[in-house]
Amino acid sequence: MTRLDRIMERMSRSTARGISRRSFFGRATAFGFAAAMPLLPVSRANAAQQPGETGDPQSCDYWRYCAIDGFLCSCCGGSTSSCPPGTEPSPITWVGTCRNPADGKDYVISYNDCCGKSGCGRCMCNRNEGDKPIHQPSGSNDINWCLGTQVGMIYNCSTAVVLGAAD
Amino acid sequence: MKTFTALAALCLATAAPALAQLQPEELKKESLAETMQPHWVWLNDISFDRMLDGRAYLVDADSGQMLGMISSGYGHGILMLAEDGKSFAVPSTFLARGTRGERTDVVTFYKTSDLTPGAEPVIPAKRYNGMPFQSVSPVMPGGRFGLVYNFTPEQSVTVIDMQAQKMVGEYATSGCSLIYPTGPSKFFLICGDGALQSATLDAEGKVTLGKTSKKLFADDDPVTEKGVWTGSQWLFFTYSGKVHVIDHSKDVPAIAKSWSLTTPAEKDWRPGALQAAAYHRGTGRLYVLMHQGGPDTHKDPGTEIWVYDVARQTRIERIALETPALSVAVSQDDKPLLYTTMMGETDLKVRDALTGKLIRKIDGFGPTMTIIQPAPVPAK
Repeated sequence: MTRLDRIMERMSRSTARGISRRSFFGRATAFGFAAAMPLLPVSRANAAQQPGETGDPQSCDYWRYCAIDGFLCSCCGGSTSSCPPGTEPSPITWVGTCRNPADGKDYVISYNDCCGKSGCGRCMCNRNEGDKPIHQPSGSNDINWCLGTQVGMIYNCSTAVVLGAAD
Repeated sequence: MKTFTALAALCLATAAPALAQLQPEELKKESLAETMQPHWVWLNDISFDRMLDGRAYLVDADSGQMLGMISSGYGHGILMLAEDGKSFAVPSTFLARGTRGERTDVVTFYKTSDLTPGAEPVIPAKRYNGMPFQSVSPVMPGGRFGLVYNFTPEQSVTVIDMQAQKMVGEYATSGCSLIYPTGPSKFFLICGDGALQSATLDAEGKVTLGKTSKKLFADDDPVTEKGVWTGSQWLFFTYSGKVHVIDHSKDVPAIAKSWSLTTPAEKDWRPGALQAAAYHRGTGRLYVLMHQGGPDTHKDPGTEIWVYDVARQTRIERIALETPALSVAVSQDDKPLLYTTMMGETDLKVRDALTGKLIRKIDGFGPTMTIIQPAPVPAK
């Protein structure tokens, strides 16, 4: 059972469901439903996928997002490997190791933040596979990594860039 | 028409014969008690959707009323509460043009009685920005100094003189993170390799790093950042649910003892959440947010609060929560209240900490509440 499933199950039991649409998890849940609907024929988000990948980059369950924490750039005008217009990629970040279900291989994923505009607010996604505490910064998704950019430290969204095979 | 008017006037006169005419009012400002009361509690909100608008709400958990709030800057963390409850400071980050421009970090001082910004020393624009923890900007026991953790990603601490309301200086911490006070002039940090780094403050607040421990924590079951101070010891929790009690009495920090939050039969339960645990000094009770889940669920919200007698290292109660919680805290008086919030929801739940019984829900906050800060207690 994925974390998103567990959260959805909990949310379904929550008496606060009526107000939860404003919540992180409420948005993730709502998007889970939206993702089942057909996407536009050509979307920038999907265009970033490489041959050999499956899944929806606008869904929190997408394989690259196994250790992400933030708004998905794929939902914010960017993609898994590009920042939305007018935002700047963070040069330093944290990395995770995710398994691509299409080929069964582990890949190192770099979760660079895009910076310089306020929080996108769409497709909040938090998964913590292999996530480390912040005293091990290179593996922690709790840090705002926009601190390394020239445009200041304002966080907009998170990417999930394939750095290479983990082997 | 005349008959109707006369009848209406008669009805009004009959219904409210003694009501005097309302008097003109003068608009005024409220003020609060000089000292934070035992059941007052601050709720920090990082405003994740609109992080320029960080804030904290002050709530009276007895009356269920909101008393006031403070506005902070970008990526709000926590408040630095003076032990006497009369004042506090807020580390904040601002950019000259909102989302753009020169960054300025400050520590803004407030009196509890008026919640009005006072002295505001500028600090190095390096304040840690991310999900907040108690250990990002603690006040040292005794209240003379407060420390702010910096991450650029170079790590350092900024020392604040809480009485003079001025910055003392910035000191590098050699790859070690966060701040865990153990006395008026003594603290330690956690290092990336699983060791603890001791440090001291001199009379002026200058930091000197001491000895570094050997590696204390396992890579495959690390401790979280969410340690709890009992007033005399730090308790740290691993992802799987071990408790490491730290001995800070010597030059080099060490593990005094370890115990487990769960029995082998309960191994699918583990601690999680953002503010994972709270300790009540008067009763020695530890409250831990627990959930069922396997590896990588260390940030999942708690579905129950498990209550422990720390001295005996035994569980004494399980409190089932109506809805999951990401933060827990307890007031430190002798009629303690247990507080929980859930990031993404808007209410504070208030319980009797001794029975676990839900007393009230206070709604309309958030929606991205992080660390709960009850009224402080003076160090013994």
